[in-house]
Amino acid sequence: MFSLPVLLYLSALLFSIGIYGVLARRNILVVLMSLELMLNAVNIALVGFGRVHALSTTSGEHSGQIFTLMVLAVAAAEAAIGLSLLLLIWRKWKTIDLRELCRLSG
Amino acid sequence: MEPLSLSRAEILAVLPAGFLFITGLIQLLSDLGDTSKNSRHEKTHLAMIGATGALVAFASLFVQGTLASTGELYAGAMTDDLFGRLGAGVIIVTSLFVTLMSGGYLSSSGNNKAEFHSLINFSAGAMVLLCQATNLVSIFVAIETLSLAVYVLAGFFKENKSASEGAFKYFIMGAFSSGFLLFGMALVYGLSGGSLSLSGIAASGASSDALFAVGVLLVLIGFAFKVGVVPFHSWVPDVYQGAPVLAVGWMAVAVKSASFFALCRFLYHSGGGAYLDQILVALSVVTMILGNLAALNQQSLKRMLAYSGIAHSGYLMIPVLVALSGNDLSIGASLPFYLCAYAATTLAAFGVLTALSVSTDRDNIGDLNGLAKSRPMLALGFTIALISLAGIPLTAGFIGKLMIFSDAIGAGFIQIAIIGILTSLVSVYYYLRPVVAMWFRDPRSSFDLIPAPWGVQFTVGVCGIATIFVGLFPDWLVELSRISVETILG
Amino acid sequence: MDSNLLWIPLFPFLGFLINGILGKRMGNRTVSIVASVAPLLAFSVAFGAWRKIVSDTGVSALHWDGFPWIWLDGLLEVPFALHFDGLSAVMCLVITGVGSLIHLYSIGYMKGDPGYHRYFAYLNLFTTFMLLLVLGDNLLLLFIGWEGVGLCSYLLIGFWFQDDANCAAGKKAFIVNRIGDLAFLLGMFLCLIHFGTLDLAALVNADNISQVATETFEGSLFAGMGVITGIALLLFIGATGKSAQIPLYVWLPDAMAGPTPVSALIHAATMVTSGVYLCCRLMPLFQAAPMALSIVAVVGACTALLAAIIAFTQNDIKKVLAYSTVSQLGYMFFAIGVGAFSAAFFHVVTHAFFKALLFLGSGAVIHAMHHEQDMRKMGGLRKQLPFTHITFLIGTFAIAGVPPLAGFFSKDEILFAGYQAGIMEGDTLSRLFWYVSVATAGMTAFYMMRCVAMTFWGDSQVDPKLEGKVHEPGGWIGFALFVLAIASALGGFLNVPEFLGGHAILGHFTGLHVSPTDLTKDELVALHAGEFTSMFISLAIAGAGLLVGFLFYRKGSGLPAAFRNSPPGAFLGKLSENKFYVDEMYAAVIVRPFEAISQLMHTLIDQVLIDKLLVNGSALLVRGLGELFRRMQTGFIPGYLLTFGCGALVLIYILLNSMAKAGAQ
Repeated sequence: MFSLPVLLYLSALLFSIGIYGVLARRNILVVLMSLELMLNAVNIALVGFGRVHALSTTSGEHSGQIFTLMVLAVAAAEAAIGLSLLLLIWRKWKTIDLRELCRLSG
Repeated sequence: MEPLSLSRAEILAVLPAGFLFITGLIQLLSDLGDTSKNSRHEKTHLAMIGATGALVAFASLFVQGTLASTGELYAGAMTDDLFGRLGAGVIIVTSLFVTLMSGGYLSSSGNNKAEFHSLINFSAGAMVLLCQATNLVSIFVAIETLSLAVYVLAGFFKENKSASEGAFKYFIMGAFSSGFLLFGMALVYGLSGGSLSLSGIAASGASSDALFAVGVLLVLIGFAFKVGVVPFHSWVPDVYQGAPVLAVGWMAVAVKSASFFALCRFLYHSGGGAYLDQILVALSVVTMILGNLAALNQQSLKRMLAYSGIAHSGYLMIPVLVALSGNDLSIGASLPFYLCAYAATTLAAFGVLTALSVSTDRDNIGDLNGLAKSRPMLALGFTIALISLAGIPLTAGFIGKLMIFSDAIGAGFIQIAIIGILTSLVSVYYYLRPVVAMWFRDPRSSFDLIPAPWGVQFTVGVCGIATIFVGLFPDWLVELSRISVETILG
Repeated sequence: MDSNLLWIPLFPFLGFLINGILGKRMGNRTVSIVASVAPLLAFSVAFGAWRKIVSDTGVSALHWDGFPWIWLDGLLEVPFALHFDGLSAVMCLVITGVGSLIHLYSIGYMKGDPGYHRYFAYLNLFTTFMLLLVLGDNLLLLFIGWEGVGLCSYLLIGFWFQDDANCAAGKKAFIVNRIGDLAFLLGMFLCLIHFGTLDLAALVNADNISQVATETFEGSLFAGMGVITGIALLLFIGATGKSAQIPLYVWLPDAMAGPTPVSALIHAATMVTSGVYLCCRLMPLFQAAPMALSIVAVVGACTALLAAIIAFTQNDIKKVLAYSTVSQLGYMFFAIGVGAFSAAFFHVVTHAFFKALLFLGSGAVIHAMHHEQDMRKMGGLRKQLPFTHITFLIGTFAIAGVPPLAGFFSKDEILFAGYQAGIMEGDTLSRLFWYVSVATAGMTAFYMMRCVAMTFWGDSQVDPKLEGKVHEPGGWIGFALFVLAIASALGGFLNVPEFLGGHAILGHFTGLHVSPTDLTKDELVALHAGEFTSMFISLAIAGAGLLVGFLFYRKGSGLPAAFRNSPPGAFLGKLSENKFYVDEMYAAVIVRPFEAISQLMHTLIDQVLIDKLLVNGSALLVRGLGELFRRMQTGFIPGYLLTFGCGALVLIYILLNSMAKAGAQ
């Protein structure tokens, strides 16, 4: 199927898209989605590496895949926290524009 | 598959973290039965549970009884050595003091909920694990667990607009940096021959590979964000200013200590040192300069301490650099020592800030005017903390800086030591401003301090005395730090 | 080895400690007991030591080895050791004897002063340092005493520091003395280099001196000058500071700002003579430097004349005595310059008696007049103050050289020494200066007569408000005056010269007497004839001075006014009144240019360069950068993230760059 370099390029592309989204979008929801995208981009790389290493080592460990599962769990927790913070922001600030959250500065 | 069985060492290794997690759970559960929901109540039982848990966890640190590392536990996920235990000790003691201070502080602001206590304990458990973690997965999980808990702590005062802004900033940037951290881990994992454990990475000998080095760098960036190293520091001042004082103290001491302990362990093993020298130098120099200079013109004490914390992260990068550049690990001993000294000092400082915000809910330097007349002991404690942060002799901070700079000179990084010394000189200016305000200004007419909660008084007293004590008799802690650093590779 | 010697300076020091630390709490009575017992004890110890070296024929000096003080093996070895020979014995007895009297006098004089304990603490400390100065076994210890008495002098001149003028006088004394001290230090360095030691015994050792005498300052600005001459001149410059000689005499008249007993003890009897003592102590060294000696003679004679002229027109009773002191010190140096060390030292002793007496007498007058010092507002005090009048008169006759009072013998000896050098040996320069010194002797008699006449005789000019309140001071003041009057009257018999049937006891005892040896009988006769001639000349001039003074200032005399109205009189009077404009000249030549330069430095270097550019500039830079960094924290999340991302990119670039470089190598 896909070779490792292809997976890595894909992963890097998605990661970059994620970074762009975080940097460029003002809607907090979109920013949160971009953050998830960054994590999942890494997951692709991890799965790719894991597959290569699982084939190459005799023990047949699928450590990359296990890492990916852990990341998924963490990403889910992060999303939960992120969304609840978003809710808090909406209640207190009545906005979901990232650029308006700049009262603390200096 | 081998049958699931735990060795004695494995059980002992997770005891401290386990006790902390269990304590957090008990606190949550015990509060379920409290139907009054009176958030102004001091809820002594929560603090008592927390203190007991912390003490038990602390005691469990001494169970193993040997100084040497036990080797890999849980299939290489963690280890149990003096280095990790020293870090765990700092974190647990910090959690004990924060717990002691929390009751009075939270009830005075009407936010006394069990969640605060248990989040402290959960994050403390994650930090202890982080100090012991020897595997990319366990490092990642521990760091994310503690981060998620601390995001919530930062925004714990839900009705406070600034707190929510700070917490959200922290979260967005934290998640962003987690992406970098994770990407770096993936590269390290992939290019070190599929090894997740630090010892495997060290054995793979991949350190000359460019992508591997980039991976190590990205992981370094992830940690640099956590400890507030420039240019990944932007969240620090805003979050410190918005968050509850206690959460800030917790972040400033525990998060930073745990991150530095883990960073040290990671870098010692990943061996990207050959090419990281320049980067660590650059980070350290930029951080020392920006942190100290930006602190000069601050009016908010929390903000000033935020920049001061950034500057101290810059100082702490020096022993990391020194230890990586040379093979003589013992000269990295200044890092654990400095973190211990910094913990005592910073706890004393935040104790005073807690007392201040309990009564006035403000943190301007001007609010300190005449504190020496109304609360001489608090003023004395704060003064000790500030002169220790400034690195003036007879304090722990002085010994710490002395060790760092002499290590740097010993390893040939003379320029960085000079910059460090110059920036510490600059720092004296802003550290002494509150001192002058406390001792030489007249109190404001409306200034009316309600008595500081006993836990705060206790914390300020103990930490102030510890700061002076370590400043006068540093030998034992220096020796402990030295041995602990030597056990990392054991 | 006699450790009792240590007690001589130690007793006053204990007095200083007790009064200095506890004085405020002890009450004035206890303070005065402690303060005056201390020098009395020192006097008795010194007296005992003196008895020992007089009676034991084998012992000519006592020595206390003390302890090693500054000790660099082979390089610089200075012990803290005391030496008690004839010279120090006489000085010790004078210091503690006259000092005790002045302590006692001060009990009455300083009564009710708020700084009572402070005053006595200083006075005890002064005594300590003065004794250290004369007892020190080496030049460095002597210098410690030298500086110590300078310090006490400064403290006591500015004792009433609430008045700015007094503080200024104290500072002036201190600064002027520092100039001399610098030369003293340089002299010490030279001794150390060329003699390799500061031990006084080694410095006057004939072998050492003859060895050093061959050395000159090769290749320097003073090429050709002998090292001994250099040392002697430098030490003499040091002495001109402490002993108020041209050009450094200007501080002494101002020093009268201190309490009068201080003027008597420090600025007349003891401290100011320490320059003379230094020269006597190092007599062989000075004798080996004839050029230095002639400079000493010139300076001494000029000082004597100048100060006497200035004393003519002073109206402040203490100023008259101050200039008189300067003049008499000039005499002493003149004597040293012509080689009459014994005469100089003799004059030190007699001068200590009669000048202390005069000062204490003037102090009694000032005390009685409620701190009025202007003689024009006195007059006729003889009736109210008969006892003071008598003692003051004795002092006046003593200083004028009326036989057989103390001043007669010592002054006569000096004048004879000048006569011998100038007339008998026919040195032109010496002759000129002998004339000067004879003239000065007459002038001394004149201005002292003027002083007595203006103060005690004639019609009363006393402020009517004070009239009737003026009364004879009794108690300790009277006692001190009485004892000193006797000493002034009889002190001269200490050293009756041989031609008058005496044995020059003092000169022999101090080892300063230079006996003319291998003289033929004719020469001896000629010498004695010369001595008689000189004595008659000096008697005549003293009598003339007294007479003219009496005629000028007797009741109802119009002579002073007439003299002042004549053109040369007006000119001279103006010059004298303004002290020859020396202070003004110093101000114009040294002080003001110095102030201008330091003002320039202050503005240019300190204010502009250091403060503005370096200190404020760097502070401004740091603060500016701090403000910039603070502003960079915009609070704007995308900005933060962008910083983060760019930072990461830069770091990755640095990393890959350094790896590429390493790979390329």
